[in-house]
Amino acid sequence: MNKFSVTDLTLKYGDFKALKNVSLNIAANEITSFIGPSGCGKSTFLKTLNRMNDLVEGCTITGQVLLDGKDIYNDMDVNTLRKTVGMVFQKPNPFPMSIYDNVAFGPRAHGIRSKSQLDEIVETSLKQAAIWDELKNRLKKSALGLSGGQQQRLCIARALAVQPDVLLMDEPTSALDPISTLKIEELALTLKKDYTIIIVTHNMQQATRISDKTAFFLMGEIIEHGPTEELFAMPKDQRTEDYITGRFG
Amino acid sequence: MMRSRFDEQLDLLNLELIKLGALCEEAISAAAKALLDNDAVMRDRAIAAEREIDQKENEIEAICLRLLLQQHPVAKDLRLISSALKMISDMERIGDQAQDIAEITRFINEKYISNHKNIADMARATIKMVTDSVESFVQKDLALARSVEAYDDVVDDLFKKVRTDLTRLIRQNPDQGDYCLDLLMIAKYFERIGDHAVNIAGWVVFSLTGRHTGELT
Amino acid sequence: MQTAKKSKIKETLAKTGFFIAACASIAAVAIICLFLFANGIPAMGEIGVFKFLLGTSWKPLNNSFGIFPMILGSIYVTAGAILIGVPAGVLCAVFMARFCPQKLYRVLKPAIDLLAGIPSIVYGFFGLMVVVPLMQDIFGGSGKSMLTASLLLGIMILPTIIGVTETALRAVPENYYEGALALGATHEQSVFFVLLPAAKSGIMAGVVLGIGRAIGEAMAVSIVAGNQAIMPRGLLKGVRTLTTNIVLEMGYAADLHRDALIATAVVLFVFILLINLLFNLLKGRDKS
Repeated sequence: MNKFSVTDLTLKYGDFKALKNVSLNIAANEITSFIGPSGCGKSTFLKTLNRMNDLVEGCTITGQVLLDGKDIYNDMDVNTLRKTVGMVFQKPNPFPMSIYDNVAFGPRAHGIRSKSQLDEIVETSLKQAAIWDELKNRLKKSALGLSGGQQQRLCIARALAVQPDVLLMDEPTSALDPISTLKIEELALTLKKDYTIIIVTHNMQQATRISDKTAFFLMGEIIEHGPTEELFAMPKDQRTEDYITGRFG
Repeated sequence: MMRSRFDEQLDLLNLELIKLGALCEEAISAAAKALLDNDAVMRDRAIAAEREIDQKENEIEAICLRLLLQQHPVAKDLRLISSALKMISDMERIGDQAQDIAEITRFINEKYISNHKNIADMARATIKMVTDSVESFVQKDLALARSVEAYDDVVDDLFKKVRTDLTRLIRQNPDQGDYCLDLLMIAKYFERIGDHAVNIAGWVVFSLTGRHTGELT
Repeated sequence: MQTAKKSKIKETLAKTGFFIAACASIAAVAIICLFLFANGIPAMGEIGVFKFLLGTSWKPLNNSFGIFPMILGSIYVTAGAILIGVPAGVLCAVFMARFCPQKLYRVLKPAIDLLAGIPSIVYGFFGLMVVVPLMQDIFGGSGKSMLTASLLLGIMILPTIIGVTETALRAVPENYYEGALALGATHEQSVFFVLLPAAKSGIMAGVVLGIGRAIGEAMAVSIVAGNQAIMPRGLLKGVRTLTTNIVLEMGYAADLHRDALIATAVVLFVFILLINLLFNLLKGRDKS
């Protein structure tokens, strides 16, 4: 079964159509990347999957989005959805609290109070994000003192702490240096065994390095999607070819 | 137009490949003339050409590697550059073969070479194949590339004819043994040149379709 | 060349103008300081610094000038104002920043701003006409007490606290809120457990400003506090603050009495100075 099944999704900000009849299936335990020029709708589509678009005034949506067969707008509580579908943002946004409190925030918000349980969750999540060794001796220090790459991995740990099925990543490495970028790419490759990962990226080399499937967005539509190697070696649509060979921005 | 610098460099690549192709043609012609006209000047030309071909191959390889490093090519650009890398090694081998032919002509003293026509035809045919394969790359002409692959049969037939003639000649004149063996080797080299031209055409097919000749239905 | 010279002259003129203005401001503060300290410090010396600051008996007619009751009075009343004003103010600001529908906000915000502009004498009058009788009904007695004063002051510092807190909340980067929501937290959880702590420094600054306002308030307090110049005896009993002390007696004070009042002003001045220092400390920590 597909993890996500999107059918005929149209999203409007007021009168402006940001997404036009988009349909896409996303398989579980794979990394899917969304590529496309600025303003093409890929981030908007991503934010639809965890209903973060609900925060935008005047945003109207038609069409169907199914997560494991359930409609995320009608069959599900939005907070439960967001627990299942985690998100990592472009600019790392750790809360101005200690590292421990950052990671423990999600579980606490969902009712876990026992210190031993929280301790365990914090350790597991930080280990999953490959950052436990670096931080284990400074859990009580402020998260804002970390470097950009560490902050982003902390945000990943924080997202993992609520045990989601899916991890949405919106250009997660665009604000980071090359080494941090590679660490996070390695992390994504390790995580995909247990999670479904969807990543929006401007960096096509990144898409080719880590993603199994790629979808190319242009002006609110998906022009082409399929296995990454195929899309980059022999794109079916001329617009895809023009974009990936850099013949247009 | 974005990536104009990249496109300029791709144009440069094309140009250099044409030059290398021309050098190959020149080398084969010179070797053929050295053989058929017993022309020592041409022999030296063929041998010198091999060195020039090696150098040009290195230059083109450097261009390709730089393009891979700097431009991160994908899709058709990647196929084009990787095909170019493979093609030049075939062309370098062609240069080696032409030199080998020229070297052998040192030992052929006969003013009159009996199997003149078939060998001459082989030389002409292989030059045509090399020219057409490079042309098919530059013009992105799939049909032309395919025709080169088909034309290899002609060269193979000619080789069989030469072999038959030479076998008959040895039986009739055993003391012509050295000459016949040398000529057979020369014919083999021409046949090899034909094979390399077919390889080049195969890479052209790959760069245009993403598939190798054998995979296409 | 001409224009270069002209603009240099203009610039020098402007610089001089600003410098004079700055000097004027400094001069104003300096003159006040000078007046206060020049008259107050000798007075303190004459009375005896410890007898002045820690003396519990203020009887000018008997040459007794101990202001400790008033110091305590100021502190208690201000503390009470904070206890009443801060929770109400912060919660109101949270409501306005994050829960208030747009239509209601359009009414609420101007109302709060208006509250800030009401003169303190009007507050005092309101206190006398409404709060004091209410206190009389509930607790008996005169109705004028520490509690009444704290209540009134609490209301007076509300606009300050609400304003600063709301600004601090709105200044918190939206991506903290989004990050919390993306973890599945509810709107309420995100506001109270992420936004509010993130705005801590701003809120503290608001509280400090509130303290400053409360401790410096004279008119309104003097109307409802009871003003007995004795050690504070209880929540429901009357109390006198430093400010009230000055206001009530400066009309007819003379000689040492007058100087003692100026010395009281000095003490007040020092308090305000300490509060400002605290404010700057918090701002500095916030920046780091």
